[in-house]
Amino acid sequence: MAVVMARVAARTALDERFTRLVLDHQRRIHRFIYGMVGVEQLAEDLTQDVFLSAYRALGRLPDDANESAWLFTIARNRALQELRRRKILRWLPLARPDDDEDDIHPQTEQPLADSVAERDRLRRAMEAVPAKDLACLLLSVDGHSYSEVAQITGLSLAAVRARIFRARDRLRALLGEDEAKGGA
Amino acid sequence: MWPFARRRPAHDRVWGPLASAYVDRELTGAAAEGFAAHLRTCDACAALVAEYRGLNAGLRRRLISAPAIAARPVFEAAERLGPHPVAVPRRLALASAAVLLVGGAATPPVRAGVGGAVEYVREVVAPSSSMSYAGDRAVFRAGTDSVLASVTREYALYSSADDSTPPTAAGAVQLHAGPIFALANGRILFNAALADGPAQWTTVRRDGSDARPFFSAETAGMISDPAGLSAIATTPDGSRVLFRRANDAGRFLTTAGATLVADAAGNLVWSDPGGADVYSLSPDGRYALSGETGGLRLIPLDGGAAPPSPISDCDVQRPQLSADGTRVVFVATRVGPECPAASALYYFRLNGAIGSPYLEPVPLQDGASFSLSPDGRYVAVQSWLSEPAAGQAGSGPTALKLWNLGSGERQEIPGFQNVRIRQLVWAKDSGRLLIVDERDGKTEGWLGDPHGSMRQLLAGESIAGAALYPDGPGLAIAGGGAAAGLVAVGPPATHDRVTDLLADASGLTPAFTAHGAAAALLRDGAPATLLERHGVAPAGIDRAVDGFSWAPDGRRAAVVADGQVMLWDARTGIIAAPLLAGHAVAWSPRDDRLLVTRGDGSVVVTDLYGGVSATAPTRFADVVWSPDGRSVAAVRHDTDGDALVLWEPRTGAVQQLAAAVALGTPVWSPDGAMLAFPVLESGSNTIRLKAVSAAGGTPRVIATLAAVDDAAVWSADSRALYYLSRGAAGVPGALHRVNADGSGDRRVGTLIASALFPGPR
Repeated sequence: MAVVMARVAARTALDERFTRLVLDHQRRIHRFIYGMVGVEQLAEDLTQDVFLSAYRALGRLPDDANESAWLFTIARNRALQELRRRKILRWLPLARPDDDEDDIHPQTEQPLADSVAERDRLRRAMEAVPAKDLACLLLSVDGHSYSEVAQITGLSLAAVRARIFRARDRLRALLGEDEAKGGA
Repeated sequence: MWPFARRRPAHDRVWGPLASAYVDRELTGAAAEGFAAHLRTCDACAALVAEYRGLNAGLRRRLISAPAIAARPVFEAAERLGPHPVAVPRRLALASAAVLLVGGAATPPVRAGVGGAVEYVREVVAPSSSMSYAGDRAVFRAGTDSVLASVTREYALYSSADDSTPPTAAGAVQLHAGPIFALANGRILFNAALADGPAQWTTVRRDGSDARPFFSAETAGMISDPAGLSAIATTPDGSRVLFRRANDAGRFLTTAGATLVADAAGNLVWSDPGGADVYSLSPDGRYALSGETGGLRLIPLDGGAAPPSPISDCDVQRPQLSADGTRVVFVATRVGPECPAASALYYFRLNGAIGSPYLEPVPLQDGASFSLSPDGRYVAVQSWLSEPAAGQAGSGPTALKLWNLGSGERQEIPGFQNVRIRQLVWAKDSGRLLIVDERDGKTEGWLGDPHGSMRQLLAGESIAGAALYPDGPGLAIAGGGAAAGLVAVGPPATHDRVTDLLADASGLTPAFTAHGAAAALLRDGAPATLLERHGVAPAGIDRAVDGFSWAPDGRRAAVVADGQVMLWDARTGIIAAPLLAGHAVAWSPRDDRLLVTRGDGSVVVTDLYGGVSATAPTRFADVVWSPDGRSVAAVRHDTDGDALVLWEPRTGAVQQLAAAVALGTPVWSPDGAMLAFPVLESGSNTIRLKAVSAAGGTPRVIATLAAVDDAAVWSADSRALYYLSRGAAGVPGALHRVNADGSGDRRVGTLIASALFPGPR
């Protein structure tokens, strides 16, 4: 009887831990995955996958483990796996560009096309950055320290630093090229 | 915009990593101070740091712009997974039981995903020319020349006077589904509704004659909506019948009047004033047994005072009482001080030590069947073949066992491992056990001495239910059912044989891609289920789809959702921005043009950006592309009736092929030479299926239909049409095949179907 009660208590505690995990981290995990894959629906599905994996494995996670790093490790691996698995097909743009020309962004009073174009350029550039480098950069931008990024990715601190720089350098080069073309 | 300075490769290679780490505040101590000092003197580094900061800001905006995600789906999905750690894939057992596959040996389970969900399904062996789809319920196969029918199972009533006499058909009784019950007055109770409509509780004599409604006129007037009731159980002598009412989700209600007991003549004996969760009747018919949190309630049907609960500290479900009222078995599903394990079957002697288990409880799966013999000596129970240690979750195969309540010994009844038990009933004398189970997609009936041997009832036939006569050794069987659900009907040489595709196909429209490599299963108001050839990762559609049309390559489809036409990518599941408003869409079978019917009835041809290339000269309904994509068949509603027309979007030409009071949706023959269409002509109440050459000419009568909405389906070779012969629209009917010239009309096997669809072609 005592054994049974202990199991039930353990299960309840796990459920509570999972609930807290979802509430605390879901938004950040989703944001990170969205940054990696760039597709809303896919990011949502992958986020769900991440938490389902976490749910399955939570019972084996030590109480004092760094839950955030653990979750981001799952998320990074899942996103990389997905990017490897499918060359993401996207149909863009489906609204004809000239439809948007006169639209004004309500907050900035800037032509919407500008911010959309900027976002698209950044997105395209992000797609051209090696996924593992991009993952490091996005984790850092999201507020993780280099040592946390190292813990999440399993890389050395020096490797994290190098990858983050490489991702930045690549983005800067790609966006610079784009700029040059746009200006020509 | 990104104001990037010119790149200086040599400089950046040296200082870039430091600048990058500096921006991230990851430089410390001397390194940080050194770089800060350098920064004050180096314009290139200052520019680099500014650019990196700008880039960070852009990336953060990008991340912040990620749409919000709802927490709920994650919780729901996690809940579906069950408690962690998941030792056993519960869905394996559930899905295996739900799969209905006929005509092949099963191979080990395979994993397949649909719309992101992981399901366990089973594969069947089938001819190599057929195709395989992984669905959320089954892997199924359909030949390229098949017609698909949504088939209703149809059973006949059989009876047998004793165990040694083979059952024979009793009259012309037809049943849609079980169970059936033998009543004390020598009659058989069953649901006479032929489809999934409101129940029609009916009784007949054991020879199938004298069918009449079960509920007496007086009772029928007293209870609201008798058609919403399900018969659950009878007493062993057939003198009392327990009925319950379920909500839309199939959960039994405990509201006032939702549970009632009738006598064999259909008179109301007791109606629950509300609150009771009644699972069974006491064998003497005096009590309804209600499971409660904290105990067992015996509710006297004569209105007397209820005795105090003989059991405490257990959440009692599904209690059954022995004939002498001294023994009770039930499932405890809630952990309390005195009920140590979940999902176990408990046995109590009511005249013994109340409140503590008399024997060690039997572990069993959620929902597993059990039945207490009326003499109270045995329980037939489905439990784990290898019983887990106390406190452990069970796993592995299940078995049907006989639990001797005197000795505690449990002995397997051979032949019932991993089957799904539908019915488990003891004879009144406790000497025989009746089992109806489901295995390998078929339902089977068994009867015999559980200590000795069981023999199969109506071997080779599907069994919907069976009932033992309370006054002797005879029994009644609802059996002989053909396949149900979505089935494939093969080519003429073999088309009496059917293959089960999906067990539950109600309200479902399958749409295959041109070469049958994928299928969409569409239900009104529900997200579509996408089935792709086995082995290809499928993508889902996350919203209710009101219209759907595959692109010729099967990689994309046009969908209508929320009144907008959109494009959907089958591989990624991504739905692109709306193209234009519309309520129906058809993708040209030859190219990337869409035929869109708009809310005002106008019809346009558009490209994949919503650019309109042709507009129909008048409003059309029921528009259908010709197989070569050159013309469109449509129905034009004129003031004096309907006209079948051909519209050629390229030239704008319109040709009238037929006219009548009312016309149904035209159907192109696969070779594009003919059009079949339902028609109601003036001066006639009969609806005909006609066919006409696409080049013009006089339409020819092919068959008679029940409604103008009843479409026919062409055979793949364009030589014949399949249609349903039925009394009225919506009623299941017999499947017929008729040659395109109207000759050779014949019924295809014994299929009773409610809808027809073209198969993959």
